[in-house]
Amino acid sequence: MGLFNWGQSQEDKQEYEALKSELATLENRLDAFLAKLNERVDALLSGFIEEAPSVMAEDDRFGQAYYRFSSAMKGQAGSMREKLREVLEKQIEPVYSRYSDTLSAGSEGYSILHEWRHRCARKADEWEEQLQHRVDEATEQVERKDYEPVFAQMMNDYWQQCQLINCRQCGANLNIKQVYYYSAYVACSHCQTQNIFEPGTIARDIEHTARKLAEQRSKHFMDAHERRKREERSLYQQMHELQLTLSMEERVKRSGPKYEQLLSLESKRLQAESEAPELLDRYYRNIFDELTKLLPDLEEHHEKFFKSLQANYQRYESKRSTNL
Amino acid sequence: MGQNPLFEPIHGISLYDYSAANAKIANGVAVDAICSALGVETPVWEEASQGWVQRMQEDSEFIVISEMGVLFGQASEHPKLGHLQPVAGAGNAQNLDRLATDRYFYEELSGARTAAYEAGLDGAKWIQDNYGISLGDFQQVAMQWMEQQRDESSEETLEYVNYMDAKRQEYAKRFADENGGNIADDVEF
Repeated sequence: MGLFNWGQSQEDKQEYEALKSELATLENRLDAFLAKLNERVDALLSGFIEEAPSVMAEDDRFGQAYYRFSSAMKGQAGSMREKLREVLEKQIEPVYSRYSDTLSAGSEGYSILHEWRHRCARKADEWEEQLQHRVDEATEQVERKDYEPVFAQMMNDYWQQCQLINCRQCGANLNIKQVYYYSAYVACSHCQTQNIFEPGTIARDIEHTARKLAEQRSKHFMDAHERRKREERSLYQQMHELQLTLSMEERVKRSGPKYEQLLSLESKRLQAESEAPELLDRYYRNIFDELTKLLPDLEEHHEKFFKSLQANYQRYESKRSTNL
Repeated sequence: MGQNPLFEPIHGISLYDYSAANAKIANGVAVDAICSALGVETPVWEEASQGWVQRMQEDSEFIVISEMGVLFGQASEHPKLGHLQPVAGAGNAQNLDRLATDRYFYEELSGARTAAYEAGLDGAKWIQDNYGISLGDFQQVAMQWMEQQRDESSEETLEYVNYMDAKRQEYAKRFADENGGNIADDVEF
């Protein structure tokens, strides 16, 4: 108990050194463990990026093979995450519990132990965050596709196919002039017979592809929205750190250079906070405007769909209260 | 519900028809058989289907999709579609009955299905191959349990969630062993 109550005996010093040494050894092992996991993440993601194109090339129209392939990659990433959590639970936490029961609160040993635990947890959190970021990045890289030529080709194939459709009764060309996304009755202009036109899988995928293309054309608004949200968070964090350094006088009088700096940050933060939802709104508005350009016959539905979506994302908008 | 225009039938196809038909289609019943039982031609069914999808997209309160979930779980009681079975047969009735009455069995298979997908397998097919339960039947039972979950206490829900996750991990280990292990199994602390 002596050492842990700030004793100065030789035995205390030895115990103190032993504690520091044990913690340092475990932390070094954690660093090495994370480095080894990173090597596996490198292998996992480079394999994913390399093989994905061939999986996609041979896939069905629903992308089921790619879905399984990417799920497997995410499953492996998840297994590494679980392995790390197990290390924290079985290697780090028991050591923390063992010492925290014996060290006096407020002692140097206690403080070293707490900081060590906090550092280990932060390293694990940062590693997980980085893993998620890399998985997202790799997925985006693999799934990135220019939908302009894909959509153009689809429409071209559809219209070419329509030219070949004749009336089942008189054989005249049905002269199809509109996009049918699914089977539909089409009347023959010569003999008035009702034909059932089955437009096939291309037409069934037109709406989905148009949506992807409209999202692609609107992405710059989403990027700007996310950028503004990140800026707002960063400004809020800067304000929080600055607030911690304010003197009592500055707090009470609400004045002084630091307080001025705080107000300046708040003004920028408010601007970012108000612009972020506007940009999100422009993103969705633009998607539906583009969709209507691509598929004009669905304009009425696009408008209703947009209003429904807008009602939902606006429902969850919130603003911070900084109370300056 | 009767007053809400969002629930008006489309070309005579009600939300119950649409929901039960989708449960049957997910179960392997052919669209032709559905149309025949409902007494409509394919173009009518397809336009009505498209209409119901659009209604759900336009419904900001999610009441249509929520009601569809309930009706999806009642497909077997639908007067015109309830009796329809896929050509391949009704599957394993005993396992299906257990899935609908034994919550832990349902949670186990849910965990196994997630683990299967995370191992790069087709989770729905794995359940079909090992327990004779089709995706459609599984989803129907899932809807029943989701309905029941509304009346559960948070402790009960948590217990089922934990049970499912424990099973997911158990099956994940099993699938990993069958596939030669996970990528970082040999990384030691």
